[in-house]
Amino acid sequence: DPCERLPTELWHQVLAQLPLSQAATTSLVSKTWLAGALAWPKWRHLCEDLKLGKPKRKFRTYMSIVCLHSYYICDLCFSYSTGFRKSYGSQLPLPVDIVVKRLDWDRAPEKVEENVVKAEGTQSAQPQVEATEQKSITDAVPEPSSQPPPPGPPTEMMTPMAVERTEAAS
Amino acid sequence: MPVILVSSDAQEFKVDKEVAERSILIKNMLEDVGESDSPIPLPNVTAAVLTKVIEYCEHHRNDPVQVPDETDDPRKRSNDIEEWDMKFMQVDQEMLFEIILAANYLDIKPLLDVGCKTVANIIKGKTPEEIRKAFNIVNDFTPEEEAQIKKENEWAEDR
Repeated sequence: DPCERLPTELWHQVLAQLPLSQAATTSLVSKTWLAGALAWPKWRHLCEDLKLGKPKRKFRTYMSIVCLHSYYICDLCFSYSTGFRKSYGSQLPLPVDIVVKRLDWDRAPEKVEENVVKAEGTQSAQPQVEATEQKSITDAVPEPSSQPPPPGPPTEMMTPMAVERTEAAS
Repeated sequence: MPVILVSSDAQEFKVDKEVAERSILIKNMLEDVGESDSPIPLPNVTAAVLTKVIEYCEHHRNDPVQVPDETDDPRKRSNDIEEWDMKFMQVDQEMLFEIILAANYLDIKPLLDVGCKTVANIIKGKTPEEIRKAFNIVNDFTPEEEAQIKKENEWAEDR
């Protein structure tokens, strides 16, 4: 087991060779690997560089924050990019279907579909799409720094410790 | 002028100074000691590992000294291991880890890099279960813990 065998510092050099998504995946291998992945300073550096905020109640580790924003972070070069941010505020009229496609990701499929239909029906696409842009971006990526995370249903938000406690209780 | 290196199990290795100086640790030692032919003890490295490390240093004896590039382009990283190095690293896992540890101790940066990349390449593209299999690791998470971690640290796919 390389994670147990190598000192943390060397283990983090190994993680640095992996795409970010894969580095995050290693946390699922075992408890040692989870600890090794969580201790990787890269997560904190990314949060600081990309201004993603600090760990809070819901997203308790820097790694989970980075993963939350993972849709926008380049797996290999670690840069933060959204097609959205670049086009936002631009005076160039974008074809509606392109704008919609950029927002069309799995976490908000229904909304996007609904708007496509409306946009096609009413011909007044642009303002509506802009409104959707703002809506879905806040929906999808709650800024941990600016918004308190919504208190989720307790069973879903259970920490490993909480899980153990309920197990012990039952 | 040859240098004599002594492994932890007291085996002596006679290598060219040029080869030995691939290790920054030994280079600094030699500079501190000055002209001397007293053997250099390496208490953290066994003969088996030292043999491999010397093989590496012999092969790379004429490489230009690497400029430490902290700004390494992340897009250039990953699979770019030379063919010879790749073959050199085809050893059992225990030896691989030993080489990495020795490279770290002896301060041979390129060898350390190759070692870390080799481990990374084993991990790359594998699911957690496949990684466990590759390294003989026992999953010590409860299903609940695993679900929780998965949930917290899910990577958005299909970029």
